[in-house]
Amino acid sequence: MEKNFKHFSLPSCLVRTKGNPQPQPEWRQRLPDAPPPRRRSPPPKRTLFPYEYPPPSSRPSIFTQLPAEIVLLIVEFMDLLQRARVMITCRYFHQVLEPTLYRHLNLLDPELHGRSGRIHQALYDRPALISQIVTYHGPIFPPKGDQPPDLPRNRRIQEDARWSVGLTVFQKAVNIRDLYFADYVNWLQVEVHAWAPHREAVDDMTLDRLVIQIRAQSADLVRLLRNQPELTRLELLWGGVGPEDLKATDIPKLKSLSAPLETAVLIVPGRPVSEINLLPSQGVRRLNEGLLECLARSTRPIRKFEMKLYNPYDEESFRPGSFLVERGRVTTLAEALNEAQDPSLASLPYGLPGPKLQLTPVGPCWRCLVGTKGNPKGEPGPQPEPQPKPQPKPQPKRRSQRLPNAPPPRRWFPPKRTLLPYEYPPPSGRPSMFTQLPAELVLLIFESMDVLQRARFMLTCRYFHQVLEPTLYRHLSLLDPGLYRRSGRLLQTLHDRPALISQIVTYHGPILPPKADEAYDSYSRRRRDIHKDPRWSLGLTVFQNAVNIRDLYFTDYLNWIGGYAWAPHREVVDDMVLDRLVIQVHDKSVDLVPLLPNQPELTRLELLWGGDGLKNLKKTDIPKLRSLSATLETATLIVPGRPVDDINLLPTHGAEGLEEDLLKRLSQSTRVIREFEMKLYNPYDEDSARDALQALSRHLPAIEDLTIHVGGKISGRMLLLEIPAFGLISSLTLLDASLVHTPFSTILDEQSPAAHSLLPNDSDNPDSWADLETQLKKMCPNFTSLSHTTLTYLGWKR
Amino acid sequence: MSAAPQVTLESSDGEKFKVDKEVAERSVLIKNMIEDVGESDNPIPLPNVNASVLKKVLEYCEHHRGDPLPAADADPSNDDNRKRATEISDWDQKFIQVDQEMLFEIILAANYMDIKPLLDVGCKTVANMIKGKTPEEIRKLFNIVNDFTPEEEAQIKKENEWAEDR
Repeated sequence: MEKNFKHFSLPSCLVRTKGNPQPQPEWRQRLPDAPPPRRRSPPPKRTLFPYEYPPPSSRPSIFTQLPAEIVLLIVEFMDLLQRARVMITCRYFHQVLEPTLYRHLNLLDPELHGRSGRIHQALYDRPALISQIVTYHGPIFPPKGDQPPDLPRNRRIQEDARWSVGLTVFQKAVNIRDLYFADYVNWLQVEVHAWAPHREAVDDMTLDRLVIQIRAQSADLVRLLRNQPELTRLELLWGGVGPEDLKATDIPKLKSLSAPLETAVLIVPGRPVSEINLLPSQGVRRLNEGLLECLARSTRPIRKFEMKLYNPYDEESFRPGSFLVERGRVTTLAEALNEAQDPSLASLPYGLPGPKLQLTPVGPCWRCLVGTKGNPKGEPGPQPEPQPKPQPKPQPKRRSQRLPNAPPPRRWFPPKRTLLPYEYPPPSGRPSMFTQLPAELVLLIFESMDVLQRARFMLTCRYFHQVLEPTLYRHLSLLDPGLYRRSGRLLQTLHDRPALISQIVTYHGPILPPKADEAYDSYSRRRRDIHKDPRWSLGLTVFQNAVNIRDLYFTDYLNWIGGYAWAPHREVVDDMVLDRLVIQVHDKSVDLVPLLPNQPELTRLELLWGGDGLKNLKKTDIPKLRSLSATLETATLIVPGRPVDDINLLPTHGAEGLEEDLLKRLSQSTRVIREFEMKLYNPYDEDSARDALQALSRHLPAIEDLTIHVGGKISGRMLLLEIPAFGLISSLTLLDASLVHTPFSTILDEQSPAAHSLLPNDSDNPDSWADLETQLKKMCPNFTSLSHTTLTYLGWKR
Repeated sequence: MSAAPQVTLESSDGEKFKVDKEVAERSVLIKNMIEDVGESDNPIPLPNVNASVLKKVLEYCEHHRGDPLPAADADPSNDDNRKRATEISDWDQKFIQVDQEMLFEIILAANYMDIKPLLDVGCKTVANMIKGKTPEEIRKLFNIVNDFTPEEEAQIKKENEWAEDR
């Protein structure tokens, strides 16, 4: 039966009309003297890139229109729970925030601590998220539900499901830099076997900060620290006398230490520690002066100091503090006194009461330290118990008398490194000062050396070998033909010594090394049976473990489209958190797109070839990209909506010049493009060079640093006319360029009539690079430098 | 016209050096100490630097008194570039032509007193000394004892074959 809707009508306020406004009800009519209505500003331009997520209601939310980088900036001020809540508001935020949600996991808050089991489970179920964790402060062994922590100490711990979940998570969390396992970990006792896998997981991390609650006398701490060459902050909440076995070369970059005094004196001497937080020692009434002296043996001055007064009401107990005031900053002690909650003491002047302590090169405490493992004389080790103040011993009478006019005797200052357990006896006779330098200075000296020189120097003695070996593999650039040829040997060494692989941060070289003495074997790389080549498995094994690589350039030409054989290598790249990726990818390759979403930290991308497949790139992928090297066609697929401010345009095959429509899209970066590099398509056609510069200045007028690969001759006068259009330009670089003298009259045609008023006099014609620079400085207020490389000889060599 | 403010530095062996505050403040350590403690007639103790080294360090500071100070929060990438460059100015080259012992003492003092440009000069000098030398030549140059066993040395050489051009 057909219903009759004839008499049914909606109230007028609910009827949606388009372009036909309904009369307003009386209560909404404007008063005659009311101000004009506020016009709603147009929505921001989010539609710069393909629109994927429809706005939630008829009125679009400005928040969801923000570029991903701004969203990330905003949520930096939110705690974990808030982020999780924002994340589930829409797909866009979910895509942007999910990786960052797990980046800094601080589960010390009781509420979060109670839920840590669920967080572990979430990570266990989504292993791709585990590699995003950079900070983890929380338990290894999460509590059950809302119950208080129930850390089992029995041998059956492995049967608990929480154990296997945590283990799986931490074995994969190789990108953690800041770690604090908040459970009390008894590393020493019988339970150690249960925790061993977790220790091994920590060994795979390259930590910057480690907080650990370790049982006193634990020797396991030393093993743990030995694998952390990048550690700068160490906080030993309890105990830790074990470090007496620490080698001089272990943790060479330590800057900040939190530990009891007895532990600190085993760690500080010979290391660049500049911040100390002294924890109170149990059973001690006041600071031991002898031990305190040892803290001044850091290779850097102690600038920041924190301590707890044992008895804030006993003035005598302050005196050892004055020793530190002489070497540190007085405010730090005042801060310490503030901690004692006695404001009147905080204002004490620089010179606190107490005797001035004398520094002796070899004090009683120093002898104690020498008397550890490496001490050939076997003197006693450091005494943690408080000692009476050492009395100066009477000096024995000199046998030989000095001549009256002899120069004063040179006082011998033992190098700081000798404060550590002595492992490497100095050369016979006169000791080499070089081997006495602390590890941090040795590393500083070697920063300016090439890999060959480092390898040679490493061979001179054990000490340098220990210090330099990890750094030798940190930045591997095998672009030099000689090194490229020997890359197979390098991969073999890494394969044989897997502990070195995690040291690699930069790798520029082949996946598949060439056969011995072979420059390049392109044929073998395209074979379908490539995986049977032993070099294939060699490279795969190495790169599967090289999870700390941040800067990657596989120099082989990779056929990512048909190369099923390369799939495992692609997966390996997914495990890395890259900052820079250089890749030679096949034109129209779609494989590049799956590679990029797994690189949220990427800031530099260099696509040497092609990349048309990037049309499928999502707007939330690579949200931190700052620098791009690609063809114009590819760049327009990447730049809009991302914070790119540095572009290197590669020439497009078959193009004759810059397409202005495409160039226009580069201005849709969320940052102003300040650095720009390009190649002239036809350096001998002045018109095309001028057109390129004019197009650039129209669409990217804020360029400050411009580099042009000329590859031929360029007119100085044309540059004088076009470069000032970049109002902020400060630096111009012309590569492979020769300056050509062209009369102004031939440049000024109908195309640039406005330039007549800016035309320099004939006497200003730039005849040399110096002239050109001088005149550009006059015309451009920010201009500071013009640099060039001369055109290489193109004719016959006679 | 008032004289430039001066500070007194005391070396480990008790010798006192009165220098212009501007010169002393080339050292970040001293600059911070002066800022924290304020103007004072008391000498600033430098317990890790002896008089002959301090004299040399102050000579460097005096020559470079007008140079711009390196920024504390400089861009790390610029820092890398600074380290990669191994050129040393003519004056600095002459200044650093001292015996090996003094060279390393200067490096230690520059590190302790936090004078980055001087630390760079010292480190670059040592790096330049090493360039192009074989392990044996380096051992000889610095009087380094080869404490590897022959087996260990052979093993390491094998591992590093990839770096050697042979």
